[in-house]
Amino acid sequence: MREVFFYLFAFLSVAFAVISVTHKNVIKGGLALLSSFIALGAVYFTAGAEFIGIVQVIVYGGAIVVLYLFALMTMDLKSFGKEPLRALSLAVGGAVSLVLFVSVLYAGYRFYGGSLTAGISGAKEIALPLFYRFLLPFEVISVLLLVATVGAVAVGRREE
Amino acid sequence: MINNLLSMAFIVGLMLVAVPPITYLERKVLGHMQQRPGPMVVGFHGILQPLADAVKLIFKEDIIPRGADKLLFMFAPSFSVFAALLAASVVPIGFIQAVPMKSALLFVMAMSAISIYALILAGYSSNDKYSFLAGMRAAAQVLGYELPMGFALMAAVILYGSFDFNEIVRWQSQHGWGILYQPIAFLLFLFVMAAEVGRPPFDLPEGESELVGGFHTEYSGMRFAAFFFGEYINIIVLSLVVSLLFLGGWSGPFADKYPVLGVLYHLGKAAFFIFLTFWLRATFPRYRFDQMLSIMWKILLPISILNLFVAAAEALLVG
Repeated sequence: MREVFFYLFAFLSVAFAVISVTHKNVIKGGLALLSSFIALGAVYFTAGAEFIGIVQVIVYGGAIVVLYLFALMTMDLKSFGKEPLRALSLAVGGAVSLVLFVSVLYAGYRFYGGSLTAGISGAKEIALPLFYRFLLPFEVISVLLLVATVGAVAVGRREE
Repeated sequence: MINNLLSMAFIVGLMLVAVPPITYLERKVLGHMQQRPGPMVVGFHGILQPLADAVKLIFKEDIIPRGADKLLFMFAPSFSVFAALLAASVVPIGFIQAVPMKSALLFVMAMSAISIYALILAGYSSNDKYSFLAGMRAAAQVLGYELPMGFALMAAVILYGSFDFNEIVRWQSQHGWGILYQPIAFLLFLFVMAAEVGRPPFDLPEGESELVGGFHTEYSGMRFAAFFFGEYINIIVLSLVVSLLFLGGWSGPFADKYPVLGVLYHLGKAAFFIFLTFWLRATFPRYRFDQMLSIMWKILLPISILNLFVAAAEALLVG
């Protein structure tokens, strides 16, 4: 039963992701992205990682896609989608995503092959490794995010 | 399993059945607070008013405006009800528990975060300036209230040490109500709750004085009613959650012996918060858009973060 739902939501997640990059209407693309994130949250649920699944929905569904849609709605959407696709960008993008896809597939198969259950259902199982074993990488990432925020403020600031 | 299904049926039924009387009570309460009688014509003191409303809404012409995005336009109202009912499904009422979940509190937050898409989509798909502006307001509002809400809830969670409502109530029956330990988180949550359900003083996405009807300007009939249902179910769910988090939920005298009493306690506490939303609506004018944003980001967010330290200290002291 669990496997059925796992593959169902995994398929939905990928399908919506494909729609989100190919759809002509940007708002609907954003919605497809949202659906993909929620389906991914459901995938976590089926793997037994309840906490990550919910946080996935809160963070990506509740905040990030809202921000995307908000930004998109302030733009002039009529001028979108008029430019034709160029073969070169298509080829480069395709090659990069193929390499990424294969490497993720390989890593997943190599290290976690065959098992659908994750050993991290609650907040504690995530917090302990994050704040003890991997504290340094965690802090480095947060500094990186701070840099991005400060950079965005510096770029967006009006000169007096 | 059977128990869970029965509980699920009870909770969904309660949510759907409770909405019409609540709309009647709201109009009555608002009326009396503003020194007018409220609905009086249909039945004794207007008690059949919800029925008349239902008949009117069902038989009203269902209009889809020209140039609207048909699919999203039809999808948005149902999304509002759907998200609210999903949130309701994990909230236990006394011993009635549909979906037991370890991270139930987070799940309610996630569903309430998702429910904002109903407003954004309705605003976008209506092909109407007012609706569109309302959708943008809804998006800005959700970004504003989500952080203070999260931090207020986290303060409570640090204190109780669990996301599970059963654990939270058990903690409170041992140590006393959460409001005694976390009055700031309680007030923050009440404040933010008004923004979350889009009620005055934070009903900016509706804003009937500036935006006609806001996101539901173009809706009529049952689609319009679906937004109503979503909003009121959200109010009920969040009232249940507040009384669980800060007022001890279903704990109370003799609740251990007679579980039914616990259900009544819980519903009674929730009813007070539902009344509070009517009260707020009767009392406060709407905030301006910039006022709302500065309240959320400049006042509530710092307070809620500072409150986390208080909660951590209390958790160390009380254990």
